[in-house]
Amino acid sequence: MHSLEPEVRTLHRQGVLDDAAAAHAVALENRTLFSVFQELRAVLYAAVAAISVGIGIFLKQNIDRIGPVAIIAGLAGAAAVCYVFAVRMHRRGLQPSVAADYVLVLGALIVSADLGFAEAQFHWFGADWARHLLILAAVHAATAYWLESPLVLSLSLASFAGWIGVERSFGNLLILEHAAPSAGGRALLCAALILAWREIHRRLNASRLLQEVLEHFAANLGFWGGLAWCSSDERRGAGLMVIVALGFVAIRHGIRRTREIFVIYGIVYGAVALCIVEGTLKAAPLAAALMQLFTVTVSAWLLWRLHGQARRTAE
Amino acid sequence: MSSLRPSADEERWLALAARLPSVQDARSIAESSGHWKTVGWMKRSALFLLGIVCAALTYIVLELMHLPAAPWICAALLFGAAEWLIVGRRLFGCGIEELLEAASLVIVAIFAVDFWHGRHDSMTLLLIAIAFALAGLRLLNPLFSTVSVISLSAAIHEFIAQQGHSNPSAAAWLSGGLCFVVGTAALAGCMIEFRRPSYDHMVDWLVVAMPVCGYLWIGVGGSAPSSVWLTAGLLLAFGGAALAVGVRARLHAPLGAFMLCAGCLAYELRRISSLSVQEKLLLGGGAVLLIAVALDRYLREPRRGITSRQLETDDSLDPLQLAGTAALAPHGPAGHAGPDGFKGAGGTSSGGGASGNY
Repeated sequence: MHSLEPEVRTLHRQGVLDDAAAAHAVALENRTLFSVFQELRAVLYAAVAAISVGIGIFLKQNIDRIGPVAIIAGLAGAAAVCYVFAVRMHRRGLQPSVAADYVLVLGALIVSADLGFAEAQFHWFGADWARHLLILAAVHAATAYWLESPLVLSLSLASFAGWIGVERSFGNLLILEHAAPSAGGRALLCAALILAWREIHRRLNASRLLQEVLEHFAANLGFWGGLAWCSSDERRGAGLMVIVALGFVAIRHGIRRTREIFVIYGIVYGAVALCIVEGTLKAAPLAAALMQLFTVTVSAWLLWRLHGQARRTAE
Repeated sequence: MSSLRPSADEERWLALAARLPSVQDARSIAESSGHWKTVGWMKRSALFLLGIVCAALTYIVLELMHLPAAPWICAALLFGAAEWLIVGRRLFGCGIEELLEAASLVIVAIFAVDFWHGRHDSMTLLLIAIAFALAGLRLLNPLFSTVSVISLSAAIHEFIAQQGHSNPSAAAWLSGGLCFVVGTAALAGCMIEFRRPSYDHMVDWLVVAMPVCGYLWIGVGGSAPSSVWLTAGLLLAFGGAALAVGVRARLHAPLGAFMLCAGCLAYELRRISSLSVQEKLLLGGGAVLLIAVALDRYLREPRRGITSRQLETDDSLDPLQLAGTAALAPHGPAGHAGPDGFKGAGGTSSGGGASGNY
């Protein structure tokens, strides 16, 4: 173990830290105040994942024994319990609780399973079965805005992407057989729609926490789409242009808002795209490898340089 | 003041700067840290990944140039670049210099065996362990020191397996035992007050990784049904000790080790239960959820200084949390390939990541 208490006290003496900040930092350093927030978050995620997978297997194996109506009713009841718990915590006006957040996520996942199961049983939407994903996206979005839950908003956006037909696996986007222009097009369309959503959200002065979720999804889906185009023979040039444009926007956003992750998105996705394009020079492998090496080296240098710039912006 | 790496005092100021991002007066911290430069974990990971690609491409370029001693030239180039970044540019824990240095040493380890003895797996693993240990000590990097111990356990396993030992699980137990011994020593090391934060991180990583690595050797390699209770006992003992140390000393790494031991224990005990997989998942997940919710509520107000509230404003893990949650979400197949029920990539129905047809 180590404690940086002497250094914190030095900063306090120098006037860099005020009394309250110094007292808080000292309490953390000598561990008289200790948070198990991250541990609880990890445990809750594991529990919610285990339960949702368990429900999926249960549904598959017990449909004949229990019957669809009983299963749908049972799941609805379980979801209601989760929602009631989370809403009660919310209404009490307590500080946001990580447990309430994850119980709400569990409720949302159970609702997703329930509606998906019902659709698979009764074929309400027929050939347009994917429409239930849009309904889920709307329901989860409403819940997320009501209870200000970034996690449930991420479920909503994932359902929305599923409705549009975006590949779930990033790897699949880049595998040649999947790298059809349409796969990239769907990802880009989804990113554009989420960006539009984010713009409305921003103009309504809604939660900053939720806005960041929209930005993360829009950025990643946009870059995925661009990379998928870079992997396809038909749209390679367009893909590269999309990546360059998105990279510029992401880096600018990251520096302005001092959000390091967006700078990383811009540079790393840009480097991957350039390496993919350079890798297509199969006739001259040495030249291709040299160009890729140059690209990666410049990317690392750029990431370092922009780190300094972001810090100066923050100061 | 050393130019090879930050002194203990300089490293402490670097750690403090990372811990207090809100401190605006970066200049005084920069002077106290001897103008060594470091980055946050996200950028470190990104630079580490770029370093992997950079090292691999350097090797590929030299191979494509058909140079007679390409691996050795590659190792020299990578080592030179890493040392220039450390000594010349004063980078510490920035990812790229760490990867380049480790890659150069690992290349030497791999090709040294080929050069002198031909292929010999246990010797290769031993040299890789030494390479990572050297890199870990030079750079004070916890990942490399942990990988070094894992490679050593793999070298022992391979060596015993090559001797044609009559009991195949002996190798697994010996390697697993080594991991648990190192993990126990690291757990004891958690109670020592280090001046260098990096020593602390090295001990932390060993505490978290060693029981899992030990379990993977014993639970997978030495998986005789009769050994379930022995394995469970080991995990229980280590997990219990880790919990005690974590709560007493208020340290995150032992608590993480306890959680991982509990997960391994639950997985190991799956064999002695007659419950179906979904029942185990639902009951186990439900029990853990209830315990976590109760703990969260109990610790809302600090109890003896321990609280479930988020005390630090570090939100760098949030994108990972969002990605993890989105991964649990329902989804449709690529391009909505067909209307006949769900046939998504990796699962059907929108049953929370479930797999199966209805």
